[in-house]
Amino acid sequence: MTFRAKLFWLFTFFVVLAVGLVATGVTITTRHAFDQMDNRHTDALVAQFQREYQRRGQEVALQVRGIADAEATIRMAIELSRPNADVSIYVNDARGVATSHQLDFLDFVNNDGSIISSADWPSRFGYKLEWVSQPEDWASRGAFLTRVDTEAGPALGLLAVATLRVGDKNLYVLGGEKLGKEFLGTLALPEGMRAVLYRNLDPNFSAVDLIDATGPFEQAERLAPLVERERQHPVEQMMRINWSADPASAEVFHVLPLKGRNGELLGVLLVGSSQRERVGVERRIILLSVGVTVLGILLGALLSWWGATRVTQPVTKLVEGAKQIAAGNLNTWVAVTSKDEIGDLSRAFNQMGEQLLAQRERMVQAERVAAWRELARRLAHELKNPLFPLQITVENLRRAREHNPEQFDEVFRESTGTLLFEIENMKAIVGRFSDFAKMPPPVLSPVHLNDIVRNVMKLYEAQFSGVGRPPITTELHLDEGLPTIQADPVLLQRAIENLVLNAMDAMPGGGMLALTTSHRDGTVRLEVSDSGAGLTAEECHRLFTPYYTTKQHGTGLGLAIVQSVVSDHGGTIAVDSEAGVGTTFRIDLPVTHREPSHQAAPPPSVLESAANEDGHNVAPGSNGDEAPMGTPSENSASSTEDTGAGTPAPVEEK
Amino acid sequence: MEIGASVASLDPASNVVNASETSGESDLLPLVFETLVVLDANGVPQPGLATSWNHDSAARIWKFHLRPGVRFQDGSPLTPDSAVSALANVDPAWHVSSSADTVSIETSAPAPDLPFLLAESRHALARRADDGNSVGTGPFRTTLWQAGKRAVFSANPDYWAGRPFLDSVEVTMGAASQTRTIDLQLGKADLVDLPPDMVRRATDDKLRVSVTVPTDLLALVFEADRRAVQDGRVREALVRSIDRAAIVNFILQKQGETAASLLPEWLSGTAFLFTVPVDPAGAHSLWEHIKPSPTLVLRYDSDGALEQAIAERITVDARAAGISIITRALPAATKSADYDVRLVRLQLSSPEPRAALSDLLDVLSPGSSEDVESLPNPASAEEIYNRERGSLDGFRIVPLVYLPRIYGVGNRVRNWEIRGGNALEGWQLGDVWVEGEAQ
Repeated sequence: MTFRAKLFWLFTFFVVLAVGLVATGVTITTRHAFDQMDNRHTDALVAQFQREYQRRGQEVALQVRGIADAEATIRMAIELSRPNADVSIYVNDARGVATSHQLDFLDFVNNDGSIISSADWPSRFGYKLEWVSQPEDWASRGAFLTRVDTEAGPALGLLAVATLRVGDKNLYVLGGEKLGKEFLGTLALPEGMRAVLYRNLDPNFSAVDLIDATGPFEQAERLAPLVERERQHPVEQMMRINWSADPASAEVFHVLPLKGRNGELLGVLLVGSSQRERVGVERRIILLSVGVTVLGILLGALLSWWGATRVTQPVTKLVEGAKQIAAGNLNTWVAVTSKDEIGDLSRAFNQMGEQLLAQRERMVQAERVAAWRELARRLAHELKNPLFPLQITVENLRRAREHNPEQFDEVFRESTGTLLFEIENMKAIVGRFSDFAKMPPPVLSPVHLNDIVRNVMKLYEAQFSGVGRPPITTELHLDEGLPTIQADPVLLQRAIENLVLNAMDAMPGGGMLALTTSHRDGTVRLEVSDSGAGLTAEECHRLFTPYYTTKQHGTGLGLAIVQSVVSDHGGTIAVDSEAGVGTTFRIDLPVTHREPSHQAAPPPSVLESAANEDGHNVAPGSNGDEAPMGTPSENSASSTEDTGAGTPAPVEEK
Repeated sequence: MEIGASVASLDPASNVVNASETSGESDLLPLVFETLVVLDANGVPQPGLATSWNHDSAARIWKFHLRPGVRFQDGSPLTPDSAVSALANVDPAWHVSSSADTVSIETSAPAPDLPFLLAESRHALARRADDGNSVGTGPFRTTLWQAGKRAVFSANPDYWAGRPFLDSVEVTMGAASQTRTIDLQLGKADLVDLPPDMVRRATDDKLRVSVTVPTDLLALVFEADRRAVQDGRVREALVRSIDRAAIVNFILQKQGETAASLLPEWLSGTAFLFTVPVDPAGAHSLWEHIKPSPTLVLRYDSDGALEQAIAERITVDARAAGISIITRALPAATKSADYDVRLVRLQLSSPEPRAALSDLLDVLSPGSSEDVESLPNPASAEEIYNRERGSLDGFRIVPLVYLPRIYGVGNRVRNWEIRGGNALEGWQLGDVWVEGEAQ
């Protein structure tokens, strides 16, 4: 993940976190506010109901009092106070009076508690309502809730009793309103609220006694637990009912116990407050919150991206510059656009680039000088040997001319032979250098590596146990399942011969030479191991450097040629060496030929080596194309650390 | 005049005992139609369209001598043949024939009470006129008939007893009791029938109230085939729970009598021998022993406010005794078997006890008609009592109250009189006149 992406996600995370916290806070606060508003609303409604209830009670009490004070009622009381009064003539009076006063219940009750006339149940005359005639101050009691027996069954009534006393006898006027759907219908309720009344007239919950302003309450069984709980504990309660899975269908019920004159629970009023509007508003708020959150996140993401880009742009330029420098393009500059730390870093980077560029120039110059010096030394060394005999021969020839003319011809003949020999020798030396410079491109054909290995071993078989030198034991571990590869057999054989010769030179006291072939993953491998003294780390490091050799008569081109051949075949070469144990060169060649990745073959000056986990690995395709000419790679140094001690003699080219 | 009933037609043959179906019709019939025999205030047969009659020793063959000079309202004379035509289809047991000026009725069994039967309005002589309407020989003839709403009767100038004083009688049917009372008070009506609960108001308003002897019987009839009332204890519990006195005193405003028998005291003279104690506690005790206890369905005529009030009171009494009962209001003509007990209002058909009892039992227990027929004719008071007692055993038929007919009479109405037994014969307006009206 890039630094910019990290910054972007970090900024986005904090934006989302902040927006989410704000949205959650708003939602919770809103809900809390709604709860409080709901409670206040319900409390207001409950208070309104209680006021309405009291007002209706006062109205009822006034109406009943008014009926008792009416002239007709007074006349009735007077008549009934007489001995043997005929009560039957009043049997139908209550109905008309109740109608005119719009009362649901009206009973005229005699002094003994017997009903004289009943408006709601005319046939009930003569029956006693003994509780009415009990001593009680009905005037101060006012209206009260009570159970009323009607023809259709028990009902709930808001009743009042007025007493009319004539002589020593009372006439009671008992009247009131029915607490039913009509009563609920007269309650002024705001939209979304409703009042449900349960008439607690049966020992068990009865669904038909649960009514609202329209009649029997539908889904009464859903409210049954609420009513039952109220019946068990008649106190004000609240409960939420979810009528369906939709939260908007929920309704919060405020439950009020309605008690009779003796404190008995006669009714339960349930004031329902629909949550539909609230849920709707909440949903709108949540939608708005989500919208704001999404917008906030999007905006935050955009800002985060902009911020991350703005912050990382100099860094990215620095990274690009660093990559250019890593790729060898030291002439890289980063624009300095700010005066902050990033600006300082850019300036430091540019200074570093300048330093590196200057240093590389110096190193190239040094390397070039060193290479030419080496080449000169080699050439001088190589040419000095034949030049000396040439000088001696020419001097002998001059002395023979001057001092022994008679032997001059013989000397001349011998001297010219020597001169020609040495001249040929010098041509050969110059030819080897010339050959390395003109390494031919490989001519590919199907080649079996094992055959080439066998040819080489057969070619040098006699030298392994030659006269005058300690014998070298050879071992061949050839994988017979080795696939055919596309290679130039001549170049490949020359490279292997160089390695074999290098191994023979590494074992002047004899030893064991092993050649092993194997294949895996589209690659064939050849390992050439000797039991020589091994190489030092420095030697490993410079092993493939052209003209590098420690041998007296070496040109320093052997392993350079090997590396060149391997590279031209798209393969890699590595070396493992351990002091006192020996050295192993490992060549990996692709079964299917692939072009070397370097665009141009490096001049025979300096090639870089690379290392992998297997050891010192030279992969011209990996870094060769990026490494500057004449500049040793940093990997070559590190590869030598892995090899340990070992001092193989650099091979002479064949 | 205003009446509460809505009379569909005026036809003597359709006048039957069930008062709920014929209320009002029996009042109007005497205006147009007359019978061979009439009853006086004491219930003694007197000459009507027949001036005299005699019978054989077995009282099976009766000869009635027609009053001469009587004409139907269409002008045709009353002849023995026309009388025979009117009576021929009244009773299939009768063989009616004519000779000279007499009409002979031969019965299959001795019929000493035949004059009483012939005094019933349903035995009035009617003739089918050329226009298809029935005409009688009464003091008024029908000049306008709007079924159930209004009728106008004009004086019959050819009436054999002389033209009535009133030129015409206009009858409004189906008027509410309040309306009738007010109209009477305002003088817009001269004669109205009143429900019992309006009597006190009419009296308070100084209106004349004329109350007849009890003419109707309100009774409970348990359905024989209803499983719920097969148990005699169920019926007895309900009967014991009912406070008849409360019904009479409060609902009927004392314009009636409690009934323990089918026939009222004025008719049978033995009603005092029947008693049914008010015993709510006993009813409660009895009901508690009935397991499982049924819920009784009491049916009453939905057209009758009085019946409704009484049915509701019965329900109150029954429930106070712990009896489970509900009411069901149905029109009288509705044929429904979905009830256990029915509140019925029956009109006494005859001032003759045997005939009245027979007609009552014909309606109340049609299945026991053979028993009714087994009553000797003539039957003694003891035989009638025994038959009556027998019909009431088992609480299948439970008399509740007797009802009179109550009329409010305008202050300017003169010579209005309802005497004793002829209360059953309807309005006798032939001698009535109205003060202040041009005569």
